[in-house]
Amino acid sequence: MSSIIEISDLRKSYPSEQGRLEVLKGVNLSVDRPQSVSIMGRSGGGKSTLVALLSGLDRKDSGVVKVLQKDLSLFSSNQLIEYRAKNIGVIFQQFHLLPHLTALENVEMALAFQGVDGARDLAEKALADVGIDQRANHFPHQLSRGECQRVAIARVLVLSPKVVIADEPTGSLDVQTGERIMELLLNLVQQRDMVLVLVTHDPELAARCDRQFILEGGTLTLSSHEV
Amino acid sequence: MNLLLGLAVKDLWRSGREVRAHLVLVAMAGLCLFFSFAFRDSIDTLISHRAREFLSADVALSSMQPIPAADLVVAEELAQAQSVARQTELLAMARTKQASLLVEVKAIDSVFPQVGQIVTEPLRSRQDIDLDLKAGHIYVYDELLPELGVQLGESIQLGRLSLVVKGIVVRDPGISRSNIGIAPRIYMDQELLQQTGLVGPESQVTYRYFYQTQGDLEAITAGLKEQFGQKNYFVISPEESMSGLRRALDSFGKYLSVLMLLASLLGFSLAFYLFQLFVRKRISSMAVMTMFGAGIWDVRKYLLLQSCLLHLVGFVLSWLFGATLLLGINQFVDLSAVPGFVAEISWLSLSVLALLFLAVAVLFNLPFWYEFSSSDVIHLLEEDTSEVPSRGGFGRFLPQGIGFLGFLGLSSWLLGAGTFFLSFAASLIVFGLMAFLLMPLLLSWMSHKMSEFSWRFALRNLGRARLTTSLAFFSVFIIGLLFGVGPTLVQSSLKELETPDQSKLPAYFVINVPEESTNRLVQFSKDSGIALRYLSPLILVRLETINGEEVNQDELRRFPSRVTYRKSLLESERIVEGEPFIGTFDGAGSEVAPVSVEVEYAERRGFKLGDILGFNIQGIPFQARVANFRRIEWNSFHPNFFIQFPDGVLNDVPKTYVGIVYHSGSDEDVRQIKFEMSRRFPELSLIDLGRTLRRLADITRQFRPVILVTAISLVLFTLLFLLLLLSHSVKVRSSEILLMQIFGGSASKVRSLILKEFSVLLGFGLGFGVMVGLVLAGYVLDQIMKFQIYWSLYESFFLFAVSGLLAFVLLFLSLTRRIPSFIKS
Repeated sequence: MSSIIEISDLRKSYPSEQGRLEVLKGVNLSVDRPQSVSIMGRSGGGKSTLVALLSGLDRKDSGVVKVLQKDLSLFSSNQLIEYRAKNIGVIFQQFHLLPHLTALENVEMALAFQGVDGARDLAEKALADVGIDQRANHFPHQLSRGECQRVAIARVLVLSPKVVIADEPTGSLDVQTGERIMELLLNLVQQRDMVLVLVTHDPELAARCDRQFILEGGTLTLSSHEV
Repeated sequence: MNLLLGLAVKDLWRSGREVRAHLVLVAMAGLCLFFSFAFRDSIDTLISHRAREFLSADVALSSMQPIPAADLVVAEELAQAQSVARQTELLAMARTKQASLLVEVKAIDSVFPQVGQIVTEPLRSRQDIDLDLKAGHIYVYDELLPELGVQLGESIQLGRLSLVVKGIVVRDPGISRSNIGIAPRIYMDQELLQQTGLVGPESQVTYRYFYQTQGDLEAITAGLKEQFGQKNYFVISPEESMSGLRRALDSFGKYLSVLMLLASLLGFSLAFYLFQLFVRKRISSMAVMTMFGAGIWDVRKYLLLQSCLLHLVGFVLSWLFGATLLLGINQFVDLSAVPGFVAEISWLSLSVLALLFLAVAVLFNLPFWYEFSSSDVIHLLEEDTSEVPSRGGFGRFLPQGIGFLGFLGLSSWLLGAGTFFLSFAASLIVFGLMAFLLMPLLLSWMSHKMSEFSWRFALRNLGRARLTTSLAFFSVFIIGLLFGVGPTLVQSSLKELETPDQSKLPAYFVINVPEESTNRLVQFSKDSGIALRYLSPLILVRLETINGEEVNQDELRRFPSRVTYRKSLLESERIVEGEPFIGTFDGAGSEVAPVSVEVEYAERRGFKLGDILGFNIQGIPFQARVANFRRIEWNSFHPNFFIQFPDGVLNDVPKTYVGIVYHSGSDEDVRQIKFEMSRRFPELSLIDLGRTLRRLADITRQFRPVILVTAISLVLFTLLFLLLLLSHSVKVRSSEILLMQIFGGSASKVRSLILKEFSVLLGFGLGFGVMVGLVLAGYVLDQIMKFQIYWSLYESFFLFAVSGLLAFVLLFLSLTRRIPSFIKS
């Protein structure tokens, strides 16, 4: 079976005052079917760097990052933007909703950039799927943080990407709300046959994923908890 | 594009105060440009609508010599004239039993004026006026009556004739020899003028023939110019008749434009600053857009759309507000000083203004095109993404600088403000850049020297926000500059005009002295105990060629030059370049005669040493070589000439003389001797210098409120600029202020810290501004106007007090309103 995500010998370093700081020192990962994958690690351990490379937001030093058999490093900036918009969804810890758009418009915006017909109806349905259709016409500052994250999830899932990368999606939520958001996210991903890459430092959340990895010392290793 | 437009509109619509402040600034900046364009358009309309009335006809032929009948027949044919009016004009002394006064005599026939009318008091029809004139009566300007001590119905002496004042002229066509009203006007009958004995071969009389025509005016004017170009006749079209007024209004328009451009530059700059903050806050939003398929160019288009939308709405607002103000000006402001002036703006100017707004929208926002790149998306993964770090480096300001310069160049070109504004603005930009670069060093040095923490804190804060500090400093600097320049120039000019150096000031100029009367006049002066000095020959010549090429400067072709010859330079003259004249020129060896030219006149005309100037002296061609350039102290009040020959060159040419009279007696003595002189020498004219200076002072005084109002308006605008800038910077620092609260800083302590920052800015900015302003004013007064600098404490203190108080109140109100709201939040 062909891989949905294929990362091999991925290396990335950044300049620092003490010379180049090697953050990723040969990361390998292969996901060949829809499933949820968690990546845990300490702060500053390279989780965000891995997310950036996996979502095509940053360029690698060496190695391979393929999503749906496409090597992301071969794309131009514009090609990458197009490919990412269609195939990779990113959910941020800070939600990043556009403050001047309502919840509905935030979701609609994502569809509109793709030129999808009937964007409004689809957006309404997406908000209903995350249980927030009653708040569709509210602006981000009128929503709770949990509601904002639901909108952000709806905005990503409405495009039906094959891969969803969630970077600490519950990091800025209280425990109960985070719990509910994770439940929702895992269910939706499962229902829609997507790959979820969950970056977190919460072992309990990580444990709910099909596979769990730990990013430590610049390399990715399977967690001992993996089933 | 529709999607981007929709997003851009929603973003702007829902952004609230930030966008509203931006719009207000853009609209105010636009309003300044609107008024500059409106003023220019109003002048154009005034000239095109009023020019015929100003000339009193469709076209005129003018000469300093009588025009032969044959030429008049040709002129009438060429002009396809339906009617011809005749007017003879000269300066002469009018006398009564008690007083004498220089007057402008206009001798007219019954056809004059063909366009417009002479309105009199008591009101008389044109036919009645004509009957009165033929009966030996005159109509005069009202100021003449008190000066000569006569009333309506009484008579005045003009040359050999005694003429009865029948009425006062309230309004009349305007063409004159432009003597800024130093000589009130008298209308008399054309046929009676000869009987006054004032018109002789050497008299400086202007003969004018006015034509009314239905033909193509442009073609007729061109035909007349071609026919009479080689003769000493001047063909005057309606537009040319208003060239003096046009020049005066244009100069005023340029002054307004400079101030308005400065104000609009400030407005657009602050709008730019606000837009920059607006964009910075949205970089994460734009990054999100790229996550969902928007390309880099989509983001750039999005920014451009927002900028264009803001500027277009700003344009519409400034248009609506400006148009309302124009209506108000026409309705409520007394514009009688310039009859026929209607404040308006043309559709063409509005279109240009709209394009200018769009250009500003693009030019001023070029930096943001480079501000965002695809790599910014990565910042979305950082925990604190409230503000993405901006790209550093001086290069970031390059497009910004191009934007500013582009705006300055474009608008000053469109407004015809010329190189003056550009050089002024360029110096300001250089100064601004220097301030921007040197400020951190200065502030850092000062903060090291300060022992008290609060001052160190204030200085460090100023040094941290370099752009904000530079802009604020710059705006305060401009206030200071205006304090320094405007009132000082006006006050010094008034001081000079109102209280001239009495030791230098002659009692009056004597002009039109016939050659045969000079000996008698000198004798009369001796007998009367007055000092007649510098009696100089005056010869009218026309400059026709420069180095063999025909002169193409209109003013030189249209008007004769007044020249003189002398054995030696006057005390008020010195050679600055070239060789002085030695001895009397005898023309030996068929050498070309040397000529001396005033240095600034030479610069204006483009003369160089050694140039051969071809003159026409009363029909005889004559060549001279530019031998030297002279600088003249004009405030010496000597009879100085732009063009001057050595003795021996023009001695045989018919001429009149001019001189000056010093008199140390009382005003009454001066009046008596002046009266006696004009009685004994009816053909000469006396210009009362005191009266002329008073008249100039009056005109300057009339400009003073305009200058003060525009200066105060600009100051207020600058203060608004400063207020918004500073209040915004305080708002941006709200979290810091909260932090200070946590560490025990009370509201009053925080306020005191911020006020210290403002006071450093105000102190430095005003200090520098006033200093540079004074230096600038000093340069203009000393080098250009040749006046003494006079620092008016009253006006400057008034301006300082008003705007300082305003600044303080506005800032204080702003701060006291804002700081508690931060604390609460």
